[in-house]
Amino acid sequence: MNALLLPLAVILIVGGMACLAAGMTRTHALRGRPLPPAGTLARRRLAGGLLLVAALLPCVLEQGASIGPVLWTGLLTAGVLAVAGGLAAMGRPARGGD
Amino acid sequence: MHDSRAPRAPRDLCWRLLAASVGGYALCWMLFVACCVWLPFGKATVWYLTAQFAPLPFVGVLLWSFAARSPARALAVPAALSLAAGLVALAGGLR
Amino acid sequence: MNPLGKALLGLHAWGGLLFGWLLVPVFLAGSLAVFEPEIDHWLQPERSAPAFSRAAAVALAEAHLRRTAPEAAVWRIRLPTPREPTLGVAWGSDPRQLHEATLDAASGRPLRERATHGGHFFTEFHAELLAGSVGKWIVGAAGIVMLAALVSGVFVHHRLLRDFFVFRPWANRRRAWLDAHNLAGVATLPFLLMISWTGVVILAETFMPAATVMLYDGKPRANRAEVVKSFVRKPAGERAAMLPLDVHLAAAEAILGAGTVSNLLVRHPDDRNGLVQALRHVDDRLSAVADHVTLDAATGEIFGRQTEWNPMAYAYRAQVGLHVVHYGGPALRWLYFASGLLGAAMMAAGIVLFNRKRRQRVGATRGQRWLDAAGVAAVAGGALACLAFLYAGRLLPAALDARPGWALAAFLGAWGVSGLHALRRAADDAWRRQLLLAAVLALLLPLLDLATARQPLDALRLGVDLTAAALGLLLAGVARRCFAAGDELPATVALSAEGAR
Repeated sequence: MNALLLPLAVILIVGGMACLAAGMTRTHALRGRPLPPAGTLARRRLAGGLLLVAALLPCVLEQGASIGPVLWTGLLTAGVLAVAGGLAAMGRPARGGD
Repeated sequence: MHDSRAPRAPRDLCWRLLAASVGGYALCWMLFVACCVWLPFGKATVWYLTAQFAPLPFVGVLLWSFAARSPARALAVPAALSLAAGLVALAGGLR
Repeated sequence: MNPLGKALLGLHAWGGLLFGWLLVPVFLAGSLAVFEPEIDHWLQPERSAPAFSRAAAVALAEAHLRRTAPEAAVWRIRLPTPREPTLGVAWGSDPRQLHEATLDAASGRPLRERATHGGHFFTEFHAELLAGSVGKWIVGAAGIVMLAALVSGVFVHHRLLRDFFVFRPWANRRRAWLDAHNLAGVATLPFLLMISWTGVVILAETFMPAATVMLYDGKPRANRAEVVKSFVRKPAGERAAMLPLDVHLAAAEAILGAGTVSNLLVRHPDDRNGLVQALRHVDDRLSAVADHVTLDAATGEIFGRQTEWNPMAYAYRAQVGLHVVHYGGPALRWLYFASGLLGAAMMAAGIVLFNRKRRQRVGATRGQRWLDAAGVAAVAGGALACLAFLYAGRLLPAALDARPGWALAAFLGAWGVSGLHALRRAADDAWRRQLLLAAVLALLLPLLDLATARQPLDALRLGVDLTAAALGLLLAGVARRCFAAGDELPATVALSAEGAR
């Protein structure tokens, strides 16, 4: 059980960041894709935020109440980079964005 | 780093650097002194409390020195704040 | 850009550039310092990593000290840990100046390691540039500028939020560099704010002694003496056999927690007033304060203990703990290591960006050539210097006189050569060649380790080797992709190409 907490936190955070990215107009504009309706975007951002908050729980369970939040903050960094790197690796859009 | 603001006279820049360095140091020193005079805690508690906020006056004054519209303002504000903190400390010393 | 961002642009760009030259090596060394014990182990291949029992190790240390220094007033024993699997013994009359030796943790055999600054070299460079309190003032100033550069960066790069996940390596060079600078900065912003703030807090003890002057007549460390209880007494001059140290260890761990004692300090062994102090490690708490208990050496009775602390001192030490990351295990260590390197990369991208913009505007003037060279020397030169130190640590003869001095010379020498080379080459050419050299050196580090090994390969050395190799691959990729030969167009061509896009 304990060994699963850290991977769980990572999954929640990367998932949360991915939802946030999918909920931002910029992500779609840069890819030259049609923009989803505003309501969809807002729901994705909400889901992303909730996943990020949920990740706090396994972090605190694994490292305790004082160190857990530090671990969580560190994982946020990893999450941002993972999603940004993933988007970049998906390649350049057909028509150069921006 | 160029266009609108760049041709800042070197003298202008010197004053701002002076405000940032000496101003920041003076303000931090005076705030610490005022804390040591006024805070009603044990010595060690005051020492460890002040030490935790040491970066704040430095960073604040540094940002102010370059955000201020003129070098005079850049210098005046940390000078005035240091003076005020010094007076507060002095008042505590005379208490 | 908002007015505040405009006003702070000069500070962000020039402050970031000038102090970035210092901050990039400081961040690089700081990241390495996270793994100080592992690098220590790597630099001293005589060190073994056997399976050990802590109680047996303490008994071995006691036997060694009884043989070699029975009359010493002070003994100190560092217990082995998985990260530092050797046994440290020290003896002398003043606890601050002891003779030291390292023993095999399973057999007690002296390891006779080579003289070296060890992994602590990087910590010392990180905190004080190897220059004592002068260095602390300089690094403190750099930390303050770093904090200001981070805050002003949020205003200068005002599209940070909108561009949160944006990274376009395919875009034109300048935009790709800007993306990298912004992304690395945003992703690590909480870490960078925290590490710079806590770093300045630690150094403020040296450069801002106002409270020390007011409260303790300017006596440094007097604040520490007030909050850390000291349990000592004069020797009685009367013999009384000390209980075996492993008995003391067990008694101390009954109070401090099983497996938590990291050091034993014995004062006046075999004297009726002898004392054994056990210090607890700080690996499982944010605040870097070591609980301790002192036992009567002959009877084992508790003479004194401190497990409760002045709350404000505890909070202050939590800031220290946040900075030095003894807590949190491998997950936090690797996050600190990666975040620190990302911070260095963010600043390096800022330096490259600044120089490319300025070069395009003013051309390759004399001043610009100096700025370019300083940037290369700060980033690539810093990496080369650290690698040179590691190579010197393994290649210099183990019995060489003044060996640590030669390793330092290799460190500084590599840096100087990097600066000279950068001055003589076009900017991108210097970047590519030096980064490639650093990449090759890092990739070859595992081979060097195997070729100059004195002990079987263990997990600690393997970790250093693999990390170096991975970073080498990364550096090679950056050198080849970001500074490819013939990549840099003359300013006019680049400008017209951008206009045509």
